Amino acid sequence: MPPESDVSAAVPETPAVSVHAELIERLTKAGATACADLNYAQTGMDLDIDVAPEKLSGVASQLKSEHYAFETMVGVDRQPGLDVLYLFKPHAGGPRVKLRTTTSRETATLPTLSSIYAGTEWYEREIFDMFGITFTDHPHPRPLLLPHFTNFHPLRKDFHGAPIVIPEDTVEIPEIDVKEAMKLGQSDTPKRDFFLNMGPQHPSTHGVLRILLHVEGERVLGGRCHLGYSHRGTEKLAEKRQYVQFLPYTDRMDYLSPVNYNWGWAKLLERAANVETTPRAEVIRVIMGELSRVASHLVWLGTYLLDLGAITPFLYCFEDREMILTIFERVSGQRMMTSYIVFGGVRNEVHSGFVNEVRELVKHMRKRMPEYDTLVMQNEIFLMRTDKVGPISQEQCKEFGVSGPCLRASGVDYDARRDEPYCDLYSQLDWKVQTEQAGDCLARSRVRMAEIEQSLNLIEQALEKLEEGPFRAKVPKLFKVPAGEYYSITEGPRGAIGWYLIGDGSNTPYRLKVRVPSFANLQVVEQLIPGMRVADVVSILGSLDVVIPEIDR
Amino acid sequence: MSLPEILIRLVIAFGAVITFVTVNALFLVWLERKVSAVIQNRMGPTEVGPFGLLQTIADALKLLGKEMITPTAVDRWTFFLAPVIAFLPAPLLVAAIPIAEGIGVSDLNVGALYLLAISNIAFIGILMAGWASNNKYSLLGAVRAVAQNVSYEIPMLLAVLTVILMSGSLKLSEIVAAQSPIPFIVYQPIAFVIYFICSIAESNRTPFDLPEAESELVAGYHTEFTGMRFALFFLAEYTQVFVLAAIITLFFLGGWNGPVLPGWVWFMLKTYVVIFVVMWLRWTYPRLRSDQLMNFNWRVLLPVAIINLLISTVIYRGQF
Amino acid sequence: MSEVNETPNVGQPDTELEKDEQIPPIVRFLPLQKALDLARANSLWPLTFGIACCAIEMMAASASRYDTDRFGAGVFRNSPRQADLMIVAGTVNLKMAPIIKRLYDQMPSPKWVIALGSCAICGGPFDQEDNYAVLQGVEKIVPVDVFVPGCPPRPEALIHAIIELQEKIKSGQTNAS
Repeated sequence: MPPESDVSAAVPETPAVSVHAELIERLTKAGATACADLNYAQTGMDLDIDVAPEKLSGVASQLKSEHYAFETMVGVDRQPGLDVLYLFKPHAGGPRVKLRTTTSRETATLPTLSSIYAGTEWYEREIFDMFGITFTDHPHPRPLLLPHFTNFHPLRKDFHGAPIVIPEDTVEIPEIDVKEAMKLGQSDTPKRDFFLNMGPQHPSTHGVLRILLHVEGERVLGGRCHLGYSHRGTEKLAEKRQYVQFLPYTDRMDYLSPVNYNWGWAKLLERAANVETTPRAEVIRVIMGELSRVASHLVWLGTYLLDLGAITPFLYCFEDREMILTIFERVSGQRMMTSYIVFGGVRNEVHSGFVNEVRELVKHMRKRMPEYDTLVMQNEIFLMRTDKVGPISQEQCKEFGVSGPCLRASGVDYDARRDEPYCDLYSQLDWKVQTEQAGDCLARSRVRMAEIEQSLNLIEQALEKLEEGPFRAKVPKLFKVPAGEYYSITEGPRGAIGWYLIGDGSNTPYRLKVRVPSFANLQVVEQLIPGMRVADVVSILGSLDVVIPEIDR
Repeated sequence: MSLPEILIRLVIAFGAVITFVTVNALFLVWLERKVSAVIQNRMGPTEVGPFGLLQTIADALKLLGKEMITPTAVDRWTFFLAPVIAFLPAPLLVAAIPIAEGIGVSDLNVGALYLLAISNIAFIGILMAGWASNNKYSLLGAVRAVAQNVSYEIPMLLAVLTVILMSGSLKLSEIVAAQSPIPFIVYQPIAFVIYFICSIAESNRTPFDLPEAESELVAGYHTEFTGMRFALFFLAEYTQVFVLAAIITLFFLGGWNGPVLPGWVWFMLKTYVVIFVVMWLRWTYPRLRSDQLMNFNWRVLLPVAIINLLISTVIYRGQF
Repeated sequence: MSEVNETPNVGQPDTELEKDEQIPPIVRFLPLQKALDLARANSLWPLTFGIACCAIEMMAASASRYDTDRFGAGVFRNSPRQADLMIVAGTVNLKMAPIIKRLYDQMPSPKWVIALGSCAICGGPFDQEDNYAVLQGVEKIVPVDVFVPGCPPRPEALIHAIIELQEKIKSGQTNAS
């Protein structure tokens, strides 16, 4: 049974007068139909706004003028109607806003918001893939994740699988003129430009990403990303999995920081079911989460330098990472896909040598960081390749929903560990959010290196706070999430991971949408590369630190 | 000399050169893998033969037995000839390098000029490879290689000119003789540095390995070459590394001069130390972008080389 | 149910452009064949081709702690024309399948394939009847020589697979010509 619309299930603050009355007034003037307050602690959102499709751009423009950053779009099949939810967050404090609009199954049309918030472009293409909703005036109405010959829409509730047919062809757009389809820039010297495919098989080890570049000599005129080579249908299979069964899939979305994804899933369920974890579990979660962040940043450092041509730091980073993976293996039994942080706490008690091993690791890493600094961060050639390359402005961050180190490198002081408090321990420890101002590749690199230092500080302090106690709260084995819509954000190494869950009272989700940070971060690249050289494209991609399987889900 | 004598000499020389080129390449590939392993905290090849010494022989045999694919859309004759022309300068150069007093295939009286001229031919092979492959990556790689090789020739020549100026002769044995007891690196440190950098650029090694930029262009100009054709490119590259190191030894480090040990031992020692340093650099630095590479050449190396040459003519006039 | 291509057409070129000339062995005699097999086994050059999570364990296997270079398999080549071994590491989905097939076709023979991880063997955790996107096993499109189970398999498992493949090549049992 599809759940009721969330407006009726919301918990009002106080009768009649809302805390956000002025904002509601402005939005109602811009065209919103109905507004309601939501309980942030449980649903992760402050305001729920209903908008008719015609008024959508009006309300969105109003939000843009109030400096709201776009975060994500969620498509839902409400049976019979199709809903689209838009989530916005203000970087500088303020209520989180959720816009909701509906269209019917037959017409399935909505206006596009990509002229207001450029970041909605890819989300709208994904919703077209998954639900079949057409967005009028969309600049590039092409499938995003599914192959171009797909004739079904997987996330609709009446879709139950399709026969697997292995296609003959790899070319995505067979007979359309590529320039026209790509709507790429015109070159000043026509006939001297050509298309270069940085194809799915790529030595830059981010995963299977295909970028079609429009190049003139060494200069790039434009580029388009082609995704979907790693699409596995995770969101669809989530609807058939019990909450506890879905846990291993969270590991495999972003495999470089699986602990943070487990944490996000656990936190989402705890928010929905209003369950508190134990203090010991909180401390262990922080230690494991920060270790995972360090491991992920080490992989980033190694592969980024590999892209730039220096092969040796990759080996050093992986050796350090092996130490972290050894600890993970001792704690949870698995090197990478730990599935360790679960609903209510952690899955099992840490082994007896845990505290000593982590201390040793922190000591070792503290000795290594100056080495990395000298070898890498102060290397003349590294500076030449990254300085002033690919700057992301704060405006672009707002439009695309950039998060994580990419956001902080552009000067925006936002970190979900501090600003969307999902773990009380972070507010009790002494650490700083790292920012830089330039927004270029060098700034992003510096932010990540500084974050490793901060993570080491956090781990050391958290070890002091580790006390005896149960490692998991008492939770039912197969529990059901009460009906309602919940949103939870955790800070992964790549950025803010958002989990949007619609529960219907049963033990499987009705709709699960994972807002992955790499999706938004990668979308900016199409705006960054015109005017760069081919070698810079590689540098920019590496500095964004994207993991394609999490984008494709 | 009578005809049979000439023929025998030719055969012996030919055999010696080809043997040396092959053995050197085999050894250098093994050395590269071991050096990289030591720098990267690994072990490198250990299973194939003692210390992995037979690893390169296994690689070579495997490449010999590989299917040689010729894609249908290539420019056939250019495709066939490209590896040959890329490899051709290597044995020609080795033939002109004497490794000790009186030991060597030949010691031309214009040895230095010959070496510099012949080493310029290799990039034609690279250009042919890039063009013939009918592949955008290859073409981009080849274009970068040509720009790089042609540009870095000029400071290289200017640096070598200072040495020739000081020794007063183009003949290699005379250049080495002019370096006893003090090698030219003491008098011409700047020229040495310039020549060293240019020789790394000429052999397309990191930090100047943009033509083969692995993370960007798949494999650069030799993307489409399989089996033995690819092996020829490999042979060419490693032989060129040896030749350039040998030239550094001859021009700047005193060639075969040195106490106690026989001349050829000193020569080999010095050459391989230079090769080791070149390999060490490869595994340490990231690569430069194409415009940074060009800027570095035209705005830094060339002015410095010219000024160095001018100052050398003034200081060392008539001293050697 | 799924219609699956049960007998994969191996080595069939896709289009006219891919129809490469293949030179068959002219002479075949045993000592040379054995020597070549020994050389090929000890000098496997993998193609850098990681799709998903297992790629990280493949990279870890070539890193300092586990080091596949000891067995000769450490030189990762980027161009399929220069590689002998394709390690399919990660989930193969329908959009990726033709690309894997094309890469396999572009590799010169003799060539081998290792299916690394459960996803490459059978679809792994995505092995369901109603999964619309994932190919249930890479064996449906390319012939596989060694299967390495695990999710992801440890780096030692990959090294074990390489050694198994080496034994297989030396004994002449593989599908390669």
